[in-house]
Amino acid sequence: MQWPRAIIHVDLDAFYASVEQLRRPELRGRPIIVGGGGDDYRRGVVSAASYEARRYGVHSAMPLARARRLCPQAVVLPVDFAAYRRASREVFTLARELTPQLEPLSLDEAYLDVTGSIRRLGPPEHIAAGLRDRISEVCGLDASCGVATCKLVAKVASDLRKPRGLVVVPPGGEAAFLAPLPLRRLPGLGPAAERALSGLGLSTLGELAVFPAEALRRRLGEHAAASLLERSRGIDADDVVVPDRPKSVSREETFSVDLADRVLLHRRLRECSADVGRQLRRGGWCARTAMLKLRYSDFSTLTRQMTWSTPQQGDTALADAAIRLFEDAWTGTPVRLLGMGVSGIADSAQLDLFMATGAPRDTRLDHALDALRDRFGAAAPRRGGSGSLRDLDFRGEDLRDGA
Amino acid sequence: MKCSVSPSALSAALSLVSRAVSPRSTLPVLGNVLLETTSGGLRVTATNLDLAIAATVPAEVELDGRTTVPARLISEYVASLAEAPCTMELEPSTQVLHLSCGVHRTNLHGIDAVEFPPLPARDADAAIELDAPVFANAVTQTAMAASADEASPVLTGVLFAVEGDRLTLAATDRHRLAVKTLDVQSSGQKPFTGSVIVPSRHLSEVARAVNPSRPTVSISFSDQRNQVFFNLKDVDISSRLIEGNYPNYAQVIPGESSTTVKLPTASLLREAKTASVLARDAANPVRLRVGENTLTLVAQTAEVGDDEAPLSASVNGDDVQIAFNARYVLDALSVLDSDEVQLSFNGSLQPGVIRPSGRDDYLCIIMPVRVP
Repeated sequence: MQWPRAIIHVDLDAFYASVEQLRRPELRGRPIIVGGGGDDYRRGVVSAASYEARRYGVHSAMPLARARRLCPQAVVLPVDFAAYRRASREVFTLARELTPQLEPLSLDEAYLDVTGSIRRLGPPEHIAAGLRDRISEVCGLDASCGVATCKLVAKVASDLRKPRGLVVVPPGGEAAFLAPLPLRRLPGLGPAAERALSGLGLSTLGELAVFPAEALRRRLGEHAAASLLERSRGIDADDVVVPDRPKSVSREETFSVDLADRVLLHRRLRECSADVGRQLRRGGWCARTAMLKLRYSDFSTLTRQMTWSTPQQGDTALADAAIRLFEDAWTGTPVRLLGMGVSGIADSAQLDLFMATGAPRDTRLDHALDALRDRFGAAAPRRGGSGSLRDLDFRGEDLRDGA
Repeated sequence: MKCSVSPSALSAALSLVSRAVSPRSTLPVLGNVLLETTSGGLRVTATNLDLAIAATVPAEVELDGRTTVPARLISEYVASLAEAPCTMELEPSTQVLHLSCGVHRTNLHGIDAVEFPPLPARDADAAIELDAPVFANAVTQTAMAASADEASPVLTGVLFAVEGDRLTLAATDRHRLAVKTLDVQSSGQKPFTGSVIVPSRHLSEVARAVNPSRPTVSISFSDQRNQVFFNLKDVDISSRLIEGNYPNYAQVIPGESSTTVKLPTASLLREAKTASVLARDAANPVRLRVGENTLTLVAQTAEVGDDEAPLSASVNGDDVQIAFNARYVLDALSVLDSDEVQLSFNGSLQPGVIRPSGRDDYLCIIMPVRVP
């Protein structure tokens, strides 16, 4: 079979929950809900649910409280992004052995353009099956793959037979493959468009594909109509884009108890800033704009930003900016969520004419701390804040936070 | 209003001023050009409130008046006319402009000129004057180093510093800096001194207007120092100035250097262009390796390929290896107006200086790229 372009969409099945089951084998086969933030999972929403929990109607983005009512026997675990990122990196490393043309969509999803690998590795369906098996063998995780001549159809295909599905749409078969599927399956076709289309008596992608263009234009507007028609026929020219660098990097935290203590809030900001700084340094980037996000108890949310005269990547500069923004904005009332982020990201390889040449010692300290955190994770030492030290017990838990 | 003009002259004026038209403004009249009779003929003006360009074309005026018509429409119309006198007459009550040229009898619907925003008035009598081509060259040599990033507005401009009979233009985007010094003549009661920041895009419009029929340019600033006016004979350009403090660029100009290299500008430009094809990593790094009587250009990109080009050069001082963004090097070399270029370095992490050999009226400083 001749593949003008061969795209694989790989999607890890119930990813967060599977990672949890992997490190706690006793949880296998039990309903698991991952949700909440950091040290607390009484609040917040469901981030992921295992297939066992989904059977009870639990799905992501559902408030945790509701999920627990639906499935009281579920094990609720806090989100541990560090662990998911590690697992994700492992999977993507395996995938990159097949082709460097990899576009990650999130921690658990990526497109691969394997057109150039066919001669070396065989037909794309074999490459996809091999990848799925390698992921399960090496990482212990289940993945579903869709294979098609474009990203759009590959994504629809991977979603069709989860978990551990492999759906191949041969070249030329795109429209026929999509035709029997309900409208909702098409990525980018949201509830509003679906309502509009069902108003026209449409329920499948096949019906949409042959619907008169003119009538669709009148209902949806020129641009949306043209794009939907093409997509419903499986036409999508978008290339797999290997990412350059992110537009922004940010970290935020929802507190288990709303905080109004300035010292504690400053400390949290320093910790967020250190996480952001580490990610910048790892990528070899620096950032131009700092951003603060603040949510009060009543859910009113505000963001503030400032631009540095020279791009920054150091923890101290990031934290100082975040704290300055915070001090300008904070009303003194309890805070539910606090976050810091940066944007305007550029390569730090290009030196800056006006960059202060001072503080090389500070830079070395940042890198030393990064290395410690790479090795020891959250237990590694951090820069001290203005607050007093915590009283830790032998397990490393803070005795005073609960007091 | 009633007058007669040559379509080709009017077309040239329209294409010049149309750069200041803002077609998608919320103020419809800003999509129009103002036509008004003056003692010099027919004056055509466009503005987007930041930049205003006016050009005067010779005209036989029978009756004074003014109106505005859609810029795109009249430009396209006039450009397509065969060369024959074009008469225009305004119907003031309806603001319809009747045009007649060759076989065409044309009516264009305009907007009353009273709606056209009044242009900033030139209130100062002090001006500096200089040779227009020299000024245009100075603009080209500096504006290329200005930043395109609106996040730091000050750096999107070119610094104009006037001190006595010297005008210094400087621009930087933090990665490079270009500085040009010119001799000027000052006129007026209280000659202007000090510095202002002019949007670099607007300066390029001034440079575009320069041609042999406009040999000199006269520059003046409003008393409040928020506007700059350029006069080139039949063309007037005014621009708002950028407020803010310009970075102290003088402090980053290196005094001495540990390595200087001289070689023909044209050959370095040509070979650097070729090497840049293989500099595809982020920040497009091209390495310059300076050794005995040689400057070697090295470019390499993993999984793409590499290129090496040794050029003979006259070298003084230490051996050095330094990497620059290839684009910055090409930008600087392409605006250099001398046959021989002088490069100066102070090690691989300090700024490099590119200047015309043996002259100190221009320099371009480029910060290196850190390479593994």
